[in-house]
Amino acid sequence: MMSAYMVDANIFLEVELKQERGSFCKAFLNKLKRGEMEGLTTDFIVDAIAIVMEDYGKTWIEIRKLLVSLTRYRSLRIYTLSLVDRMMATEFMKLYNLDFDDGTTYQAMRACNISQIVSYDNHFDNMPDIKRVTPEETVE
Amino acid sequence: MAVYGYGRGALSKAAEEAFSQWSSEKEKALSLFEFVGDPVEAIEGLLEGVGKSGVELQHEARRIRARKVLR
Repeated sequence: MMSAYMVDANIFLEVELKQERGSFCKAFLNKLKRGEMEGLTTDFIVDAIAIVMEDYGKTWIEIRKLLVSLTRYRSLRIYTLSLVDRMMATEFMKLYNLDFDDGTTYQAMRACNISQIVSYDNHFDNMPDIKRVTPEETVE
Repeated sequence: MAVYGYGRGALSKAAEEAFSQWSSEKEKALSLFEFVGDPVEAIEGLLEGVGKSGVELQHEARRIRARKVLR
């Protein structure tokens, strides 16, 4: 069975930044593109990337490029958060002291039975039932 | 407590609905917007020169959202 991962916003952002970590993130996203691994992200994460891009002067052209590119991955799915999912996120804020956006990510993982998140953000490191991995670890 | 009241079945159903919505949106996007090339290459370097890490930018998104709401 293929490994399934939640993909955090910073992975896409690292590719956009094209810094040191970018090549590992690119290799990881290439695996999703080719269908060698299963990836999941949320509409909330996609919006976060778009909002950052806009704040750094990117126009509708680049933002659309990002959005349309997401439909070209063979095994990346986008989970659309419902109001109930958002309510559940507040429960995880209370239980695990997560931020709201991390709470929505955790809820999506829980809903889809995914236990690994690819991220450089250590906010998830103390969660009991999920494991954070870096792109480096997934492409080794 | 509500959080424990959701059975696995209910959560899977929510996931199924979300994925079905994604499949339908993906189909629609494919028919409406042309995209030529590689999806990973397409985004590479779009934020080149920004002297921050991906995690820093991700956290910045929260502040940007809040700023826009309060504007």
